[in-house]
Amino acid sequence: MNIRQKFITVLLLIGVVPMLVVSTASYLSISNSLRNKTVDQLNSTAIKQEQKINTFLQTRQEEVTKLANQYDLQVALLQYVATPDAAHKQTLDTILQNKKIEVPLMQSVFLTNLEGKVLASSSSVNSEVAKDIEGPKAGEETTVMVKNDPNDGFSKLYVTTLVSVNKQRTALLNVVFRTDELVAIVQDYTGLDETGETLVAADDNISLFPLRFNTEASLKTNISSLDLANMGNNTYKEALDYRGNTVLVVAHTIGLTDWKVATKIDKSEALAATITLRNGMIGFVIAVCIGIVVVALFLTRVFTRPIRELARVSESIGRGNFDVRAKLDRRDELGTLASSINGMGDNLSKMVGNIESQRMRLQVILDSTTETIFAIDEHANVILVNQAVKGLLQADPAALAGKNMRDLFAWQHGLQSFDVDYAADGVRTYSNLQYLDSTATRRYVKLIVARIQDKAAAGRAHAIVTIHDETSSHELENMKTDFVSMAAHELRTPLTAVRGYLEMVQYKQEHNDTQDVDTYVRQALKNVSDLGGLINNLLDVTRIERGTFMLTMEKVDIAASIARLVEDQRFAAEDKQLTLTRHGAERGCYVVGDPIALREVVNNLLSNAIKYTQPNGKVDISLAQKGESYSIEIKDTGIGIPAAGLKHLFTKFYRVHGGLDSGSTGTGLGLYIAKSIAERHQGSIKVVSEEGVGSTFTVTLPIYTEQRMADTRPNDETKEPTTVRRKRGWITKNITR
Amino acid sequence: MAGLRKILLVEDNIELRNIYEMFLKHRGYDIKTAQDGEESLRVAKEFRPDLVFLDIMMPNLDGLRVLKLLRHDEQYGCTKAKIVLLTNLGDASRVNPKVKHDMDGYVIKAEIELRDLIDIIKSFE
Repeated sequence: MNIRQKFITVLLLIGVVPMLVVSTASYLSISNSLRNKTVDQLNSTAIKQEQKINTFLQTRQEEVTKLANQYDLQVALLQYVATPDAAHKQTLDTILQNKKIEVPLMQSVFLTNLEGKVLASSSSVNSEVAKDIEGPKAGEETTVMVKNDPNDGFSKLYVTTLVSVNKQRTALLNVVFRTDELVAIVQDYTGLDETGETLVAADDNISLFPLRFNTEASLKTNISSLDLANMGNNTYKEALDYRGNTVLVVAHTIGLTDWKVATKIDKSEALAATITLRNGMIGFVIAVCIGIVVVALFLTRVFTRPIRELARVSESIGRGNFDVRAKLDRRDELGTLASSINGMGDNLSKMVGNIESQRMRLQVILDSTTETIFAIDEHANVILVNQAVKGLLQADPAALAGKNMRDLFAWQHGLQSFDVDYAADGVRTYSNLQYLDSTATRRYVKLIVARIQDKAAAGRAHAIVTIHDETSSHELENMKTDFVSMAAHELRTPLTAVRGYLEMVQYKQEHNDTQDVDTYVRQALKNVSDLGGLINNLLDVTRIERGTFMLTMEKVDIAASIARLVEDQRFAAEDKQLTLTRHGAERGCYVVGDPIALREVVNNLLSNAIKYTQPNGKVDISLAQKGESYSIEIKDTGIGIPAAGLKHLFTKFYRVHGGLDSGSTGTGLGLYIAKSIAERHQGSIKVVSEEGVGSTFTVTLPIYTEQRMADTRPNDETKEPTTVRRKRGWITKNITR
Repeated sequence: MAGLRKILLVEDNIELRNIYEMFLKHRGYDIKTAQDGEESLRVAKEFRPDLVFLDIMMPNLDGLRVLKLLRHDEQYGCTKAKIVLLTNLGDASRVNPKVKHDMDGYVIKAEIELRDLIDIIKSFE
């Protein structure tokens, strides 16, 4: 039941119940008084009629009694009793005829003996009627009866009295009266409205006179349904009459007889007013109810509209739509509630915003972490994973939810398959795990499974799996290992040559042969020098790494340096049947730089070009001015560099032609050092290469200016107060500079 | 086996190649040289050496592949020849078992004296 229904019900109860009580009470009182009034009316009518009838009958009885006591009658009767002959009978008849004339209402008069035998009469008397006449009972003077006269078929009033002669009960005097006057009394319906009537009946419950609604039924109509005999004088009752109508009836006993006079009226008529009243009241109550409902609907509409508005707003907020606000411009409690709800909406919106931004921040942190972090449930199914997984599995994090870790990673440890216990307690760390990713690349990872302790806060999450991709550091490790082997190899090569030459010298000496000994010694020394160069390279890398790679800047003629370097390499080039050509100026191209370091750069590029170019190939080195810089270009027709290798070319330890097994040599340091040096000179080094066609390395160095020279010096001095003058193989502290 | 006379020296470092060639020539061996893998196959096919000194790290075709070809491909006529690997990498314990099966010896150049080459040759006789 909503507020509206409750409100309507309450209003109905408040409005209708008292009204029902009041109207019922007033209805009852009105109908009661009406009933009483009707009963009073019936009574008064009945009493009036009873008195009239009584008076009438009393008059008749007095007339009859008076007649019975007349002397001539008694004498004649006595003579007749004594001598019952025709003459005496004649006398008696004549007397009776005379008496009949004296009393106007008397129709006939006759005498019977006590057994009912007719002794004399004013006119002929039906002996059957006479026989039925009952004499007065003991103690009574007269009896009154109404009987049908068989001669004319009308009702007649028979008054019988006992005639006593000399105190001897001798005969009965019977006088027959017309009933017209009685009928007129009874049929006077004054005060009985349309349905009222008067009934007169003896104990046999047969109506003595014609009825209002059954005029033909005199002396025939049975009115026993009213049961008048048992009614007291001042009571009324409801009963069914001979027509079957419900009537209100009162009865009064006529004093001289055992007759009862009853007045009755149809209840429907008597109480018609109350029925109208009742119907009116019912109509009124219905109208009031309808009115109440209409008013209640209106009122509840007015009252519940803001409430419904508030309910709608709170519901919306509850569903997560925090932008909805209640628009109620009221100063009452509802207005307060509305602003509370609006405030709640604001706060919720703010809180959810905060939570959302926190979540976003966590997401950003999680996603910007390079470690791959999985949250897994107790069956090792993925609940959540950050963006870093893209690097491990080349898969979208959202697509991995619900998948099992065991299906995602087939771990190997030392090339044996390995089972990680994702359900273990505490924190487990697995180092050096491997797997093949979707591109069949072997990856090396460190994996940490950490069981979540706070189960309540974690929800479904059971453990956090952190995977640290160590593939690149593993590769670096491999590169370093390769480097050590390579360094050993590179160092051994000149060492072997030195040893070989020296052994050759020794061999020659043993055989006293001096031929070529000079050459062997020179070659041995050259290899020793190479060895030193290699070691310096290794040291240079260390210095670059540590930031202690010192340059001594001065005005350097780069053209002269190049010319000298080309001549140094010519022997190696010719040995390989390469054409080595130099282009551009031979001297007079100045830059600000460290002459030794710059020589290293050019020498490195030049020896690479010779090394990676097949016999009969060409190596060209040219020097040209390009704007503010000199550009040194070393171009070969060598084997070239694969496209994949180009971007790593200047990376430390990177070797284009693979690792140890590929057959190529070199420490993978030369280009790294060259690039570092070029950059320290505000220059650059670039490469263009095509596999099988050749490579072109271009070194750019800014042209010498006084300003540039001045710029470099204080910088170096502030960085390094004690400037170190570095030469190959020896150093001095240059105190003067 | 009576006298391994025909020796093929495969070495990309010109100086070592010259030293070894010179030394072995002085000792009377019939020696031919090659400076990379491809050349070594060409020379072997013609020369049919009894013994090959084979450098591992070389441009074009590295020594291990040459070893496999010489040992298993009849056209080079070296399936029965002694093949000794030359290197300056690591030591003999690091040699792959497959390679070990195919080779007859393994020399770390920096660790030997020239006369050790003669001992190596003699050890096969």
